[in-house]
Amino acid sequence: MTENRPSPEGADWCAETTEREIILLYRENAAGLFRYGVVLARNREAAQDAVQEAFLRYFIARNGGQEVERPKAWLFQVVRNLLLDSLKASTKRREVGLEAACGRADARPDPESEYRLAEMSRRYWGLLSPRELECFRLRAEGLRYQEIAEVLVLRPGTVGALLARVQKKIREEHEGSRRAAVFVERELPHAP
Amino acid sequence: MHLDAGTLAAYSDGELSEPAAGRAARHLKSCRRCAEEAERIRAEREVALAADALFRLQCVPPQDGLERVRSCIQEWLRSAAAGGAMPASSAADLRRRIGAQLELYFGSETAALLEKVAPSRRPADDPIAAVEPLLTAFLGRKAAAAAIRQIMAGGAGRPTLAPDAA
Repeated sequence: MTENRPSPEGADWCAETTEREIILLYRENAAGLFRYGVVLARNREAAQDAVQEAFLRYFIARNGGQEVERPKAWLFQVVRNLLLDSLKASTKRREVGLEAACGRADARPDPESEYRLAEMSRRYWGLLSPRELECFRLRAEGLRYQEIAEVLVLRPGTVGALLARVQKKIREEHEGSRRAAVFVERELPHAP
Repeated sequence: MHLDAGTLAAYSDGELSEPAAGRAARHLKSCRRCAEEAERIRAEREVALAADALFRLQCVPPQDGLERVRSCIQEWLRSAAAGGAMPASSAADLRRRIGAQLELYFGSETAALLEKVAPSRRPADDPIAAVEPLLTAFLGRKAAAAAIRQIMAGGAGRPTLAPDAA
């Protein structure tokens, strides 16, 4: 890694500028990267490790003079690669529900919203293929089609079709459960 | 010729190229079926994003995330300035290396057991700090310091950080 070692003159300035860039990028993207990581790994700690590593790698690349054309897509791609690599080593994580990965260990242990989140994970995310889930997550985190295509190694033309399919599935599920609720409301007598 | 769902989604997301968007807009003016389909896709997107809102609200990164990134960067800079090898760059990597060192000294079964006991006490903080007393108790100060230097150096090559820096 000697090529990345800062030279004595101007090295501090360069590192400082890059660090400022990192701070801005972090504020803008960390939450989205983390959520994407949780969706991929079903594990908060693994997601956070990957996010941290991605920012360090970004710093090293930039500090070494490398241009990054689309930093957002770059970071998402690195998080993806890191997590898919570690998932290859352990297949156990996929068996954990999303709700288990994101409900706990946070500042607000609210059982009601945890319950609703678990319910939602079962209802919606379970409908989607891994690729659909990733594609939707990336779009929900604000990536452009071109960036999503880059991260998932797809043709940009496929992104719209994937998203349309995801949204249709979610809408159908939503409509289905709403109809069921209306039916229960209307047809079944309430317990006194 | 009708527009497919992917094109309509891209159109409603503002993701078509300028000429393609112009063509789509002209088609939508004259084709009721596609216009309805485009409206449906727009509505579906709203439902999907609403369904996602709770997940976004619940799934938040640790508050000290940025601090952790910055200290990682500082650690890397210190090591690079010292002319050493790459320091422990990621927590996952670090844990792997700790595991390798423990295995070296204690054998794989004991190592797996120790790893479970030691770092899980303070998983988010500093895995080295968690494992150091353990190594010191078993190996003595000097050997423990050497093992930690080895972990920080990536398991190979010369040590890059003084043991007390860990």
